[in-house]
Amino acid sequence: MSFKKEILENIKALPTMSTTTSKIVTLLGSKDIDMNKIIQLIQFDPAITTNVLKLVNSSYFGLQKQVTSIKQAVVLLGLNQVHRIVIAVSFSPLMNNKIDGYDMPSGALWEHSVATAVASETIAKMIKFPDNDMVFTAALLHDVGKIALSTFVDEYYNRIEEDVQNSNESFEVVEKKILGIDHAEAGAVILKNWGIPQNLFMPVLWHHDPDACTIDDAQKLVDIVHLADSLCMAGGMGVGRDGLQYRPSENVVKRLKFKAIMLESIMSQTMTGIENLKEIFEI
Amino acid sequence: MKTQVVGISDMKVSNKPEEVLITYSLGSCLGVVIYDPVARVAGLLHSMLPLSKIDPQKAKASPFMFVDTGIPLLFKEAYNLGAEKKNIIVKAAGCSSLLDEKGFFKIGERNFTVLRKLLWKNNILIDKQDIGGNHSRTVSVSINNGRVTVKTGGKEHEL
Repeated sequence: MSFKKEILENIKALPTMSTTTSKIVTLLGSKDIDMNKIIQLIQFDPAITTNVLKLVNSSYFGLQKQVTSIKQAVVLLGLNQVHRIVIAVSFSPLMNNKIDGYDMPSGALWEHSVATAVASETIAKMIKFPDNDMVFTAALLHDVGKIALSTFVDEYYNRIEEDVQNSNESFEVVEKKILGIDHAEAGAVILKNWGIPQNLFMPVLWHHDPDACTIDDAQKLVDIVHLADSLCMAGGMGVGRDGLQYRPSENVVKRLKFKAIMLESIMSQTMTGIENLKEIFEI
Repeated sequence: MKTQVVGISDMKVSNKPEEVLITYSLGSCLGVVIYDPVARVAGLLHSMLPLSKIDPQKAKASPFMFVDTGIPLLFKEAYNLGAEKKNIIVKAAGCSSLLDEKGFFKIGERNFTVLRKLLWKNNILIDKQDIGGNHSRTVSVSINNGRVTVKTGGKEHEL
């Protein structure tokens, strides 16, 4: 029996992303970022503008004078930092919720998402991957499908748990077997519905099965998010009852030419990165 | 009862009988509880990585991140509250792993190895342990009686 149809219906009922956010995410995913266009877009959305300015003026940034415009914020903090703030303001309300199916208290999914985004940036820097803005957003959204699957995982948890124990298969494989769809695919559908470009939802779709990625251009970003997610799960950063029941890909490590000791270094740097972002992301 | 939360790369000690030390989400991280039943002093450490040599600067700022720098401090802080080596009971939990048959992500296993080496060098034995597997664990210790509980996937047991 498959619940795919019902789950896809559930996805349609999820809150939609604001047009501004969708446009900003798309623009930031493009090769040549037009800063003026982004500033204009933010300015036309009063809710985002207010929240961005509130954060920019928080004690965390320690700016001497009051920042009153988005343009000023970009000049003072840089586009990269403002981009992160816009993303945080846009997605944290949805991703901060409690996710019952996975037994994640409120804040846990957000914590895991931010940690994975920071770890992905660390890996991207190590391998000199150029599209840093894309890495952060793709990684931040990789588990968004858990929101749509939560009620179904909750209802059929005993069956999933039993199957996981008996088969020793990765959790998302069993999700697909029992529910007809896994949280990675559900996440990609959500992002597609939000109008997010393909290069950003590919890493979400393949984050547990990077070797199955069919698009060569997306492979590196898929690999980065997979490795970052694996490390953050291992490190216990925002982990639910699915625990560490996931199978990491050996090929990713080979493709990225990583050594075991480098993985530990990524984890240590990720912790530092999270400490720096704590106030902006309220984790 | 007052609960003190020990975060990731963190450590707390206490001699207040009304307190409970707790740490959440131990994945491949190592959780170590030490307890002196005579002085009624407990300490709980949550370390993420085995050896500080990968980032000595970080180890200075955040010594509890690493097992090799966290363990000596855990004992030292417990001694400062009156605990004595001869009385101390050590319990360890955590060090799980992903479904990683090739053993590339064996951070948990390495964490436990470093703990065992350190304790062995200092003639200290581990009294009880709940190590390995693919689950995340929550560990707590009551200062009043030294009772250590481990919660995994909604089920709780005493260690």
